[in-house]
Amino acid sequence: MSRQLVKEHAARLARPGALVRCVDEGETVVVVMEPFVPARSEAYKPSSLEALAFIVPVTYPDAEPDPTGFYVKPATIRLVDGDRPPNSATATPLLGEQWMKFSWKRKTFQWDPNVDTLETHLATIENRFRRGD
Amino acid sequence: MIYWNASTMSALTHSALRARGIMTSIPTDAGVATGRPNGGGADTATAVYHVNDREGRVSPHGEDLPGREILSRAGFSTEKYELFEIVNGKTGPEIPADTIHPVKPGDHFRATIRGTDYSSARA
Repeated sequence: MSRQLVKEHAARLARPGALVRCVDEGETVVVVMEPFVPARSEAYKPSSLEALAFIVPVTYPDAEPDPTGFYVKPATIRLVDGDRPPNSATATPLLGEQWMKFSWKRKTFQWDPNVDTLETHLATIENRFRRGD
Repeated sequence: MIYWNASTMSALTHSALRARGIMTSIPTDAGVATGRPNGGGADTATAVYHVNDREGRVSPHGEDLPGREILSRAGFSTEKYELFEIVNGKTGPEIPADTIHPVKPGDHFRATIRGTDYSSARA
């Protein structure tokens, strides 16, 4: 709908101790949460991440946030056993920095602009880290 | 570049959310309101809880509800969404659709889109 709506909804993504900022990037807005503490944080090194980011098109909410995945810093995040988390790619550029991108795919249900919001998107991102891998 | 924290939500934010049916009143507290959950039932005193940024309503004294009802009262379907507790600000245990869970005014829950495959890349 508008860049401003993205920013207003991003402002409601309250998480303890975290700040949210938005960066205009072409026809998208990059929503950045700093820091980001994942669920089951003990499964990751470091356990508290510098930042989480995801890309939202300015046509939100009719268009969904980037359905291919999301980004975290540091790009060197590892599981406690030293392995790289599954389905992640290191050194992915975003906002002039290197991030680790986690990829995913919605298989069963698709984005519904009448119900889903950035909060739904963030909650689904957070659910990724409940796996602990 | 704009920075926010939880205390800097604007009235405009609330207006935008209300316009999309996401927020029907400003959740300043767990206060009691007179209204009907999602437009149904008798006109009774109710209080607000949240699933993501959508409101559900419960008795001012709280209610024990199955997960599907917690989702439903906030406008989410059990078919599409999974419900989770929030523990210390992070996503906690799942509340299955048939599991009874106490809901008090002011409680917050998270709903995620079911069936997201975190193991598959999308090119």
